[in-house]
Amino acid sequence: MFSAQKSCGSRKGAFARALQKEWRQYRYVYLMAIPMIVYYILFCYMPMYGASIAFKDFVPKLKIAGSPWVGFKHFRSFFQSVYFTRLLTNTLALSLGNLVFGFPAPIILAILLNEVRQNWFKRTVQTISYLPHFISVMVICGMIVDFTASGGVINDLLSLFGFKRQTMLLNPSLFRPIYIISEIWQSVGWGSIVYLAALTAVDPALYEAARIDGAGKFRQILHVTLPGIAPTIVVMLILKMGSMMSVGSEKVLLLYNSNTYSTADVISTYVYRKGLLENNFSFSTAVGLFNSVINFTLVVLANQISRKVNDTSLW
Amino acid sequence: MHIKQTRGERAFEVVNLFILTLVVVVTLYPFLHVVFASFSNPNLLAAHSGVLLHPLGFSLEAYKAVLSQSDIYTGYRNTLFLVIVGTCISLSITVLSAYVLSRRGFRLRPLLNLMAVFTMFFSGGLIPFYLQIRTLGLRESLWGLILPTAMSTYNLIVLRTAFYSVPVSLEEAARMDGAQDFTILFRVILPITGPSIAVMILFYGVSYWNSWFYAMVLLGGRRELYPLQLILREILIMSSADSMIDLDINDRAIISQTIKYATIIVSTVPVLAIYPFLQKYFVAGMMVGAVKE
Amino acid sequence: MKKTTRLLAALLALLLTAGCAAAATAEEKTKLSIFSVLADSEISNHGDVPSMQELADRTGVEVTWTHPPKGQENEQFSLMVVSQDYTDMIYYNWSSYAGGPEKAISDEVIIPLNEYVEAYAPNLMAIFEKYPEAKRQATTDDGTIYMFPFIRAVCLDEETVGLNFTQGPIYRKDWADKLGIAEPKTMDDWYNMLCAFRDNDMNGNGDASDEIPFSGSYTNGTGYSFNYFTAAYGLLEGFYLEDGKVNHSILSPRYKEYLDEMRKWYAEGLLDPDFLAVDSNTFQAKATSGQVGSWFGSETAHFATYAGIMKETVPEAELVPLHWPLDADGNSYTAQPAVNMICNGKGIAISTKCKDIEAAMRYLDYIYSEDGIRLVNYGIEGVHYTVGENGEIQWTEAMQKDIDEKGFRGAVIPVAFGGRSGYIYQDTQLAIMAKTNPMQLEAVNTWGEASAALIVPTLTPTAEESSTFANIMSEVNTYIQEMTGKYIMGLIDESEYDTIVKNCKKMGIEDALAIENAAYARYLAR
Repeated sequence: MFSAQKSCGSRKGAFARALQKEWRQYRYVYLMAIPMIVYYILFCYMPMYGASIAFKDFVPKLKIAGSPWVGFKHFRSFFQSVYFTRLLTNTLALSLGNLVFGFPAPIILAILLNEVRQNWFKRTVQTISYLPHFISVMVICGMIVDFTASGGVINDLLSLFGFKRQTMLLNPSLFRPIYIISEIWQSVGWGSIVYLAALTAVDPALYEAARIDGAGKFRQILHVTLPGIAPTIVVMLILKMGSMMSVGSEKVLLLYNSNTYSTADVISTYVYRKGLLENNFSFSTAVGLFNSVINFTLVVLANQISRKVNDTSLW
Repeated sequence: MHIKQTRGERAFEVVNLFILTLVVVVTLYPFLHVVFASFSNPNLLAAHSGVLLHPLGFSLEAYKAVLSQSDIYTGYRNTLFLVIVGTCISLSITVLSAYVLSRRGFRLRPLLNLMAVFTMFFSGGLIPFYLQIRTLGLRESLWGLILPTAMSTYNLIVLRTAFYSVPVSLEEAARMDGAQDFTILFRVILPITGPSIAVMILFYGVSYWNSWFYAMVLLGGRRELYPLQLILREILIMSSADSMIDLDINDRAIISQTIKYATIIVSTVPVLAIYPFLQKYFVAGMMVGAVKE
Repeated sequence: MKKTTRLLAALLALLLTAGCAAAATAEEKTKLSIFSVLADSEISNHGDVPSMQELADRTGVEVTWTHPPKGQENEQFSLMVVSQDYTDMIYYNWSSYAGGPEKAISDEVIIPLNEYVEAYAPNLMAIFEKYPEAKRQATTDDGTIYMFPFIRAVCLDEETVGLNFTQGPIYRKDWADKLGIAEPKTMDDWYNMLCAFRDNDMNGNGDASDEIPFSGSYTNGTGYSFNYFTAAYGLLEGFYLEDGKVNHSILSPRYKEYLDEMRKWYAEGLLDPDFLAVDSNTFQAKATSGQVGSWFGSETAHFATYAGIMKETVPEAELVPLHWPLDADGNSYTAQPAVNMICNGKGIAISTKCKDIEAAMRYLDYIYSEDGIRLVNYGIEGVHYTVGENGEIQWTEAMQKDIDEKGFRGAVIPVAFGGRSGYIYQDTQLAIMAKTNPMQLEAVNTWGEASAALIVPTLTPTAEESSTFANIMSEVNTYIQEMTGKYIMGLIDESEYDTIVKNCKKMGIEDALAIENAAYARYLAR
């Protein structure tokens, strides 16, 4: 495309000259961009075209293009479904819970780690706390199922304090805590890395100054540490906001059962069941699309707000 | 100059150390439990209740049973292929893309940036994705587990930020010497951002090691291509899956708890063995701090 | 070890049938593919089974098997439909295809077979002519033949159908004897027995609280469900027959009686507190360690597998089958699904993408011939079994030794999996031979006394009806499963029950019932 325009450069128009300059300066960069463009088009944007089946009655033999359009039929039937509010509530509850409890946890851990002066201890804690991040969902869920069983370790411990034994994964009111706590368990160490990295950039002189002003530990943290890593916190928050509505289906699929649907069934698991177990391909895609739209809106909003508030932005 | 600690600071330190020790215990115990249980005598284990502080009895039977399955070896082989080839491909494309996105004056940059970030929050869904993979002929092949998910946009952003933070002066100096973009990338940027690259290798390696969902969906009946996690899945869930066949369900081969644990260990140990070596790069490699533009 | 015996068996088979095999390999074999759930975890590919290799030689059709990952059968089938990349033949539960088999034909997944059956499938035709009931169950309302059905030969004959009554209540007779309790007949008897199990230290470990009077899982599909107790109220969970019509449990007042009883049992500690999460692993662990007093079980699992394990773990245990509990009118019904059905909706159909329909027909039809039936049930004659003068089948010495060593399932499935319940054709003699433990026969005899009058046959709604039906029932089933679980556990108030029923009606349960009844009327008219 640009080679064609390059030949026009001989006309010496200002526009063409600019293009020529751009080409001369960035021709290798254009080359390097090719894999990325191909990748995103092939594996992300072409499937997005396929998402048009959300507005059709997809019949496999007619292919995507040949299936009849039905407009918003599937969206309407989703909005009217008895499960609509429940799915929305569950999805939001899990992700909000994750946000409220899971987001501050790595920040706190990073700050605590940053205050440790025994280097060996700090390194040990770090190494161990990163560990769960590298374990597969399959293994984690296998462990959760085992530990929360009525004869499992957690019940063994709770029964010492007089709690009644129960299979915790069967109790709808315990699903969210189990999900969120295990999520924090798995990600708190790893999540803290970003903040530790940011903390290394905080000028030690600021702490000295604060100390000289008579600030205690807590006030140092409040007035030096937190402002120092604020931009990082904001960026991570935006990223989190965007994935608010996409509670990963893998873990829920492995942990839920019909008894906990009332709290555990989220949009992504519903999409999975409808699409792959009930052959409602179009409906399932419509629900997924609805989810994507909300996600996208949320992240754009969050980005906009953060750009206004403190000039930090994702793009 | 060492300033003497105040009382408040000392108290803080004690509490801090205590909390962090608690974090260590809570993180580590589940793993120890699995390790101890895998070496335990199955009958003693079934009868035991409470915290495990050492193996109950000592038995290697579970490991013998796991390692006598040929599935485990083909699983290992496929997973190694995914990890090695996959990580190379993922790393190459991510490095190139991150370089592109960190070029300050590049006209297409905002567009490409948007193109990448958009995919983090918007996707076509499983069924259109599956149809696309099929059109490309990547189904029932290990390439189908590598190429379609080769780049993680999140990793791209992390690396882009790292590249972006390389001082422009270094680059300009190289350009004065007549260096082209490829030379700058390999001679200037990569050496400086080594820790980030190490983290990328680990990220991708581990995610290939742990991947199972797409393998389950895309490989269909090609058992000889199943990665380790899929074999693990069969061992862990076999008892609870209901099948289309009228099985007398309770009649199925029951897999003992110890075998499950041993399988977990066998499939997790390689990751645990490698990661401490890359761990020292983590903090330096994760500089997402300055995303500001 | 298993591999070498399998290899040896295959080699022997090759030698013995050398002439035949040579003839078959001389001409080019037709290559066809088939999508199929793995019949049993004892094998990893059906192509490895000697009788399948022999089948290929005899029919001149070489088949490659595609087995979806375990537990992913329905998902992989859906993906095959989405992508339209059908194998030549497909084994599936066609009654569970969204919209039923007729929809599968109109979606151009599979083809109607009527014209081909007449031309190429004499053996299947012969069975259909001899047993009209088999044809009725294996075809759609308008008589379309769409698959080579799985056939349970025991159900073809009134005299042998009892052999298929393989599920029912089981109890620890030694516990009841210790307390001097007679065999429970009514639900009240059951209640008293379970209370006694709860209050006494039955396993004699000094702790009277670790016994589980009744255990089992709640949902169908994982282990055995205690909702089999609905039979004592003259109904089944879900759809069942009542006065010549189909009814749904949630619309019957007796369903509330059943739920109230279970609620009481749960509250009083008679039911396993973990009932919602009991899977076969945990259940086996509980039962074989001698914690459980009674449950619903099956003859193979509990009188072969469990009894074998318990000989070592709990030597004093005496597992004995119980009659199905009597309902208020003194009738006893079985709740075992499809207990008297010759065909259960599963079978092998030919896809629209089949390369060679004639060859596929020939291949599948051979299975229903006398030689074919023996091949998929018993293996290869002379190697695995011999035939006596009156046609009775006997295992060869080597095979018998194998069975003694590995058990029936471990020995027979890897050489001839047809005997696996649910696959292709299950011969009557095999059903008897499979009961290696005398208790297994006693169990089917005891359970076989119950009536199968509540069982709804496999119905096929029309294509239009079926999507409405599927939409209603997927919501209703999820809802009922969830709410009744809560109800039994006492998590919701008793007065909530009416709301549950009302909500089911709001979701359209009555429309679904009307569809089901129309389909049943058409079924009767077939």
